[in-house]
Amino acid sequence: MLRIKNLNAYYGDVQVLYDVNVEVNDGEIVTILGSNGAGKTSLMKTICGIETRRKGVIEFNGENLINLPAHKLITRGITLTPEGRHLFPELTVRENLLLGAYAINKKINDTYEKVLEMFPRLKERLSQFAGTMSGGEQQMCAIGRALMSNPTFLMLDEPSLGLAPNIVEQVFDIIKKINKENGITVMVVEQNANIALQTADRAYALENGEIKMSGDAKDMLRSPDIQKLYLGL
Amino acid sequence: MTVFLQSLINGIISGSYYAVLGIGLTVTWGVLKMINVAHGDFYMLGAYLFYTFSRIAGLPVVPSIIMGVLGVFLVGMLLQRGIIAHALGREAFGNSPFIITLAIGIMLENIAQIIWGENNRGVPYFNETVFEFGGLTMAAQRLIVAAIAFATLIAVMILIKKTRFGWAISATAQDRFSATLMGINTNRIYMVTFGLAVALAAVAGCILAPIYGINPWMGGSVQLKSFVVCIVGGLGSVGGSIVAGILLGIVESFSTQFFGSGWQNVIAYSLVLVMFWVRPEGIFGKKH
Amino acid sequence: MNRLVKFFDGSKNKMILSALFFLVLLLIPIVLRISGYENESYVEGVLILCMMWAAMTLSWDLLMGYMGIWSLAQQVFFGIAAYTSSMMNYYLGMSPWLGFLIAPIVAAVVGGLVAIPVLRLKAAPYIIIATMCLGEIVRLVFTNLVDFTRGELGFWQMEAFDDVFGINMNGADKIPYYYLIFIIFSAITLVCSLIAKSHNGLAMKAIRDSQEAAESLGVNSTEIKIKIFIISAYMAGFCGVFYAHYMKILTPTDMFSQSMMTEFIAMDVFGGIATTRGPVFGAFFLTIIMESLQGLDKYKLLIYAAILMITTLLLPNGVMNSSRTLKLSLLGRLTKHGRTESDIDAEAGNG
Repeated sequence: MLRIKNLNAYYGDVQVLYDVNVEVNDGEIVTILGSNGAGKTSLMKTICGIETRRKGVIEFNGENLINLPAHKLITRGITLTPEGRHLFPELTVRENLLLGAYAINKKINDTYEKVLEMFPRLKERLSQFAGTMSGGEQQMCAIGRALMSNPTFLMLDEPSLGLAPNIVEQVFDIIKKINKENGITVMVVEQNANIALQTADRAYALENGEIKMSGDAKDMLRSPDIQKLYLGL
Repeated sequence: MTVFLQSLINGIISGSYYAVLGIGLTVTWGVLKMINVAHGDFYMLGAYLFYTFSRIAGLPVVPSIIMGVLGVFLVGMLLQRGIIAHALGREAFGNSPFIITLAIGIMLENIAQIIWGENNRGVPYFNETVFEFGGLTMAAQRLIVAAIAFATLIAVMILIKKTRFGWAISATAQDRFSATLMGINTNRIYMVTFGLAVALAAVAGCILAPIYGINPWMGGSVQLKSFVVCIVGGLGSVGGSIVAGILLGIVESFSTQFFGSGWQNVIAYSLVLVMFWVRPEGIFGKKH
Repeated sequence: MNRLVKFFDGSKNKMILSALFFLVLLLIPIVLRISGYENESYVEGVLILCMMWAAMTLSWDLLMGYMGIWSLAQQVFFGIAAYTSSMMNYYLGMSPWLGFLIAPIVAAVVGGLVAIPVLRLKAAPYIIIATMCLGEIVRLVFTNLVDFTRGELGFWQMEAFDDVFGINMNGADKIPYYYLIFIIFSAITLVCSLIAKSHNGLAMKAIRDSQEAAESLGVNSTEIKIKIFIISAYMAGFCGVFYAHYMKILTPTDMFSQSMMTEFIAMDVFGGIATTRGPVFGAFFLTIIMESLQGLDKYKLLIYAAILMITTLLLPNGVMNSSRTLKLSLLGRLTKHGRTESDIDAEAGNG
């Protein structure tokens, strides 16, 4: 589905990604591990074409996206829930969700109902400003908003950030559910390697803007290097 | 009592177009994150275009106003896309847009001077009737001004709160990154928002032209008044600007009554300093 | 000598250039007089303006360039000093020379007062709006207090400076005024560069880049801001006194409206902020251009605005700071990862 080949990215004159190669197959959950500042968020933003200057190949279902403006990405079926969620704080939950389908010209009532079904908490808070909700609720809202455009490929950047452990588990359960039940391919960037590896099918490890390791998530979980670097064992 | 009522009504009427002017600036600030010191000059441009269409081309009043406002809308969008967009969000202390709009303002004033000359131009009242009611006098022109101003304010509120496009504007204002992810072309939102903002100034310019006359420098005091409205209302707050605009109109009207017309602007501008001292985020602004 | 070289960032070339610049300025009237050039007084008049605006722009650059305080009230300090000196002369018959003693102090006091509201504001747009309003308030007050300031009429035919050392200062000969402003300009240039090189200069730049960070390192930002406001206003005051008794006409519109401030902004931004040579170059270049466009009066300000716009877009650091910027952007274009339009737009999304 997604094939990233020799992707290089720069902030101004500073290079942040070096020849990154990542492949995501249809129906998979792929996780990208990395410590703070490894370039995980840069990778996400670069795939979207936001903030960084990039060169290389980003092939999605056979189309090279490298010259696609960021706002067109959603029309190809790709969405990102960014690090720190980036909800519109002064719009209501409902407006946030509807904006998720801004680029979609088709009827969205079904999707809207489906998303609310998936996140019953949001249903109770439709007319509340998004900025006033708790972290967990905001994360649910961000995922719900991303689903509003009926994506085929969902990227999540640090969905566990700042959430209590039991909420983190809930979030990852939902990610699994989205993947299994809705057939959405998922790429998740995560610092919490333990839960990410338990959820994912395959994993990549990113350090200093380079892919250092890749493989089956179950194998990675057992790999002594990974255990030392990311699992603190 | 009659004097009081008369002042109040006059204040609300001039306040209504202060609000229209202020909204334009506050939206520019909220969405594009820049201050536009040429706002008053777009007000001037609107008045001149209106004058050209109605007095020189001989069109009726309503089409002339529409053409004038539309013209400024287009000029605004062109200037945003062609010039201002390239200065946004750059380093250099982030003040390039300020300098650019300063230059645009000077250019507009001088182009107007070259095209239309330095002399004051006049446009007749839309309606010459003067109403009298229990000692209160009110020119129909002023009522028309207020009516158009309030209609414009309502239209803007509906646009922002109720339409898809309005949500896209709010979304871009609150989080440009996220708005892009939603598939909103934020560059286009910037362009159209700027066009709309200066078109609002043009609305005020057109409807006030018969009362105040037209000259290349008419934008100067309007510029500062619009700033007063923005600051008092809270930069970026549309509702705040409406309240602040009307408040400013009333304060001015009463200060003219008590201190004479030379001092009304001193008091209006002092409001800004007082506001900065007491509540820098404005009446309706958020604390940051 | 070593210290002198160090003062010029260790660059002997810079030192020699600066010395040469002042030497040429010093010699021009003498050369003109000896050669009997017929337009002598015109050339001197233009250079007097150049030096006066350069000094004003330098004084403003301390606030805007070094500290990032976008105060648009510099013309207020200038105007207040000009008015003070004129009124001392007009009402009390005091010698204009005494103006230099008292008026800059008045300006400095006003500078300290302006600093107070500005201190509470951090974002540039707020400071811009506050100081614009302040300037307008001062203009209106000077217009309205007719009994005191003669309103729109203003003051004119102020006395020229009294003759000193037998030098006739009646203005028929521009040379004495030329050297008077030369001294003021040189002194202000020296003071500004001394401040920039001093311990405080470093603190000022630190405040500009991040007030929080500067304060966490023990910089007292309030104290420095007030100090610089006062110094800046004090220096502007000297120019104001000179202006009053050189131009001999003051009206509130000329002295306090935003148009003069716009010129300082243009000169500073064009030349390059946070340097000494930038404002000086900007003031000289733009003043000379404006004077030579005298025939094109109608288009003068249009050209001015265009210069301002083009500099901001293409050379955001000003002409004098641009060799590096140009090199970088050329390099960027030549190397393989040249930036495209959409990249720039995307980056803008960050801010």
